[in-house]
Amino acid sequence: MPEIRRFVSRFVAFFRASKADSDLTREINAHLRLLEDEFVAKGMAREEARYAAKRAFGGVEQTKERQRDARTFAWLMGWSIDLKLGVRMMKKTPGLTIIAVLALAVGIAAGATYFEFVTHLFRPKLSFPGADRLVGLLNWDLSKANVEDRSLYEFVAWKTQLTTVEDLGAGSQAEEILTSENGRAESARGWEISASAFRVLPIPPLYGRPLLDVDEKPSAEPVIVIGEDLWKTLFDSDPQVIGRTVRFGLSPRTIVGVMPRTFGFPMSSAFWTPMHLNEATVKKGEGSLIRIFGRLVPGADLKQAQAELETIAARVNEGEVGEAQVRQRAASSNDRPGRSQSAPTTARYSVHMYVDSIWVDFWRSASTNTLFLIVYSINLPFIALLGICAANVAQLIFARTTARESEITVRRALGASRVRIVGQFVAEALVLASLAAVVGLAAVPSALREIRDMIGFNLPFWWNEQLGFETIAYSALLVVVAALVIGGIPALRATGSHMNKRLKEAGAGGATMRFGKLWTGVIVTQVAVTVILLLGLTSGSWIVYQRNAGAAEAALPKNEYFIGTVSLEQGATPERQLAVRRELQRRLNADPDVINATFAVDLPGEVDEDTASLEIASSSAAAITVRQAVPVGSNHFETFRLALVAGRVFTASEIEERRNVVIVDETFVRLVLGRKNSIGQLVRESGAEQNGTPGPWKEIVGVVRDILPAPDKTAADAMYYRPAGPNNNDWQIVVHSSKNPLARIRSVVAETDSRIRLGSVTTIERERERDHEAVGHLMRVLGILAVTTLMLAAAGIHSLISFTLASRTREIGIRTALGAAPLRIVRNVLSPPFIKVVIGIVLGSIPATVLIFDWLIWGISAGMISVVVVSVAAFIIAVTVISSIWPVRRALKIPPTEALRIT
Amino acid sequence: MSSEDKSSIELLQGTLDLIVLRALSTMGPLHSYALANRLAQVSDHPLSLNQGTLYPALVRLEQKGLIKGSWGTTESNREAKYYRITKSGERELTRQAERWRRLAGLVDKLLLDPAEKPES
Repeated sequence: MPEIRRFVSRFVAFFRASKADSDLTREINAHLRLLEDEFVAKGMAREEARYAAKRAFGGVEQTKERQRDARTFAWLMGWSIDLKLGVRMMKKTPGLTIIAVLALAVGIAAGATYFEFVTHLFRPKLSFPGADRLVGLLNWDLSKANVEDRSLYEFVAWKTQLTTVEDLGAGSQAEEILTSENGRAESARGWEISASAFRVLPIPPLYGRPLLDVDEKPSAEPVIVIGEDLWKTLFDSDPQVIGRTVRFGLSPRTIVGVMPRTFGFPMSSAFWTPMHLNEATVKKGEGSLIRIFGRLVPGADLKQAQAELETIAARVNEGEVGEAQVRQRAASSNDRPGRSQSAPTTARYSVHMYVDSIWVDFWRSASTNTLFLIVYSINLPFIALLGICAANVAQLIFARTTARESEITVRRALGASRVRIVGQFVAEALVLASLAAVVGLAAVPSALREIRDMIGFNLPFWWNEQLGFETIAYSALLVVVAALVIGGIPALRATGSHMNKRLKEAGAGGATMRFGKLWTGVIVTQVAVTVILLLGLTSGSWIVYQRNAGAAEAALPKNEYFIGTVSLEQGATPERQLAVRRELQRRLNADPDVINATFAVDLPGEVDEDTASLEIASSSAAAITVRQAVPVGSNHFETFRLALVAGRVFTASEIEERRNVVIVDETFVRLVLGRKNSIGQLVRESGAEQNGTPGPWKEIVGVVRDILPAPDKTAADAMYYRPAGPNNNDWQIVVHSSKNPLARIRSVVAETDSRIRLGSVTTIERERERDHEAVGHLMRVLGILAVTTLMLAAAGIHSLISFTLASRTREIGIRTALGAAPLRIVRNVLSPPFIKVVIGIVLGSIPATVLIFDWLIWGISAGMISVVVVSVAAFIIAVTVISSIWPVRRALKIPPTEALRIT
Repeated sequence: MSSEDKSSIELLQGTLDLIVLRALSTMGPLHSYALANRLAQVSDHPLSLNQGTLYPALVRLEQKGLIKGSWGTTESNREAKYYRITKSGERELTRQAERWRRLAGLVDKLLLDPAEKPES
């Protein structure tokens, strides 16, 4: 115990060093005065006694030093000096500090963001009252080993019979257009949910009240609770919003509460409406997809709840599940409460801690530990990114180390160990990396918000953008790794095996450190990566521009077009798919709210449709590539208001049997066919088959107007439409309506077939916005990376040139003294670094160009790629020239006599 | 310094903590000057040790909580830091003294010339 106490005291003493020092000085002075008094009493003169006292005491400074050593940890004192030195070095070279801190901050921010994201999403610490009792209940489809979300039937059974779980509730996601009294409308996603949701997550509303059990009754007034965001956008944060009416789809609802952003249960939500359950009509395997939640009653545990659930399962599925099986399952499942991922393979119903219930479907395919390992091992690329940033900074530090070469050499000669010098460098790097961590961590919440916006809707209620303790600890680890790289590598190189030689040459006044192959490789790689990123960024920006232009040009009232994915149960036959689709389309077209409805694979204005290389039967010209070969369903041209100019549209059988007919647009007729009469002409796709042979000849049966009325189109902009065929699984339903048809679409879908799954329905306009947002996020990330690598490349080039000039100052001095022209000297000295930069540009351009050709073909011609490559190369060369101006001027300004003296 | 002096210092340094505890336990609170005098008196070898050598031992014992220092005034009206032994210091003293005695007895036995061995 005394030893532990002393250990702690030594640490504390480190932080209270000045007080302890002044205390010690006071005590030693008192001691000396008492000694002095003794010698005076023995008959000495005061002055003589003072000296005698000091002799008897021994060396005062040595005593203080020994006491300090005993009082605290010597290494800690050494490190504190090193850290102070580190701060001083940072101030001395502010340019290097800024670049190093920013580069490391990017690496640390990326790593910390991913770590925080994963930790917070998968292993959150829920801290609200009752969080330890919050559970999720799952219904498993054993035949597919999947969670069956159509569980209203089971929910009703559990609600009335389960005694170990209270506040049992369910919710299903909903999307609706909400319109305020003043006509402001917002398409929003929310939850139709049991009122108990507001009890299991007890967060008070900002205004009004949460949903109550009475709201769930069929006779209750239709009410809605809105989220903070919707309250701000639709009602301008009006505190008087309670009691006002909002149009929810077509029906009005009274706003009874506003929930803060921190609520978001069970997942991010803009509104909550009460769940109305008609228990009498609920059938097994039908109804909307729901999530079931509840709270264990105080005193009950997961095991008891699971056992009770099994008993109910046996009763509900009488005949399906035998008693013996139930007993066996109850005994085998949920051995580890709260970590019940093993349950699904055996249990038909299962209960889990709430967070586990969210991820159980994700985890079930392997053991939890393996998956956590996989999820966390995705950290490695981020650590690699930090490693790249750190290696770059290390190179800058190494270049700076040349200025300290003589200091290192002399210190080694005076007996400082290699470890001590490396330690000093690492301590300095630690200061740099710590500052970078502060900057990086400050950026993490913004990065998390960016991720939230990218993911959009489906984030669980516990999601926030705050930094957790684990992430801060992880960042500390990253700081240590970065410090070891940026301090350790240059120090090890600087104190390497050539010390004896260096010592000799230092005496003679020569610089001996060399910019080795490693750093040269780093610079070349860095320039190459910069070129790749800049090319990606410029090409990406062009595509975004094109996409925006294309979407803007498409002459459609995009807010009148509603799209949603439609799918049937797994294993549905093509015949059934076709029949259901045909019936759904017929019913929708018959609806008075709907102008036209069709099924589409691609939407107009999209530029990422298939491209096709076409041969024309009547022309001997080479195959021509058209950008857009659009597969269409029936009623396509009517729905998208593409007027027929000549010929006819596809018949239903042509579409369903995917016959060899096509329809082209006017641009096709004008630029591909040369204004010839197009109807009856034959075209075929060259290389359409797997073995590279052309596809069958297809007859042009119709001509429609251009969907994008751009003035300067080329043949590549021509469009041709082909029948989509029966077996396409990517169908989206497209409904043209000037009214808000969401409710109608849902009811028509439900009436057509109860097994149709309708995904979220939104307008083309909103879909476009989402696309643009997603691309925007990507471009921002790419932009940050490009700026960082460009900054590092510029700094690297600068240090390479400074280093080259520093190591050749003597030569420059002699040549200047001999009368060589400055330009000739500069050209000679700077050729090697410039060659390295050019190699980097070439190495980066080749893969980047190939990638752009391969993946980003839309709208980018070979000429444009050449322009972009040349621009990027010129830009990097310009950066190189600018980076070298200052060191070159400095080197040329040194008088020859001085150059000869100092080197 | 003779080799005898040197070894006596080493021995003294090794057992300094114990000697300081013993002095404080016997004499009551003492300042560092008085402690140094006491050590010199006990060891009967006034110049064997610089008085400053005491300070690392004092801070060590204080950090372990075995002694506690506080400022006071001497009879000659000089200020001085007085150290007193704490309860855990007393316990540690008993423990260490016992250990020392056992060790000393063992060493004594080992060093005993077989010729001098008392007949049993």
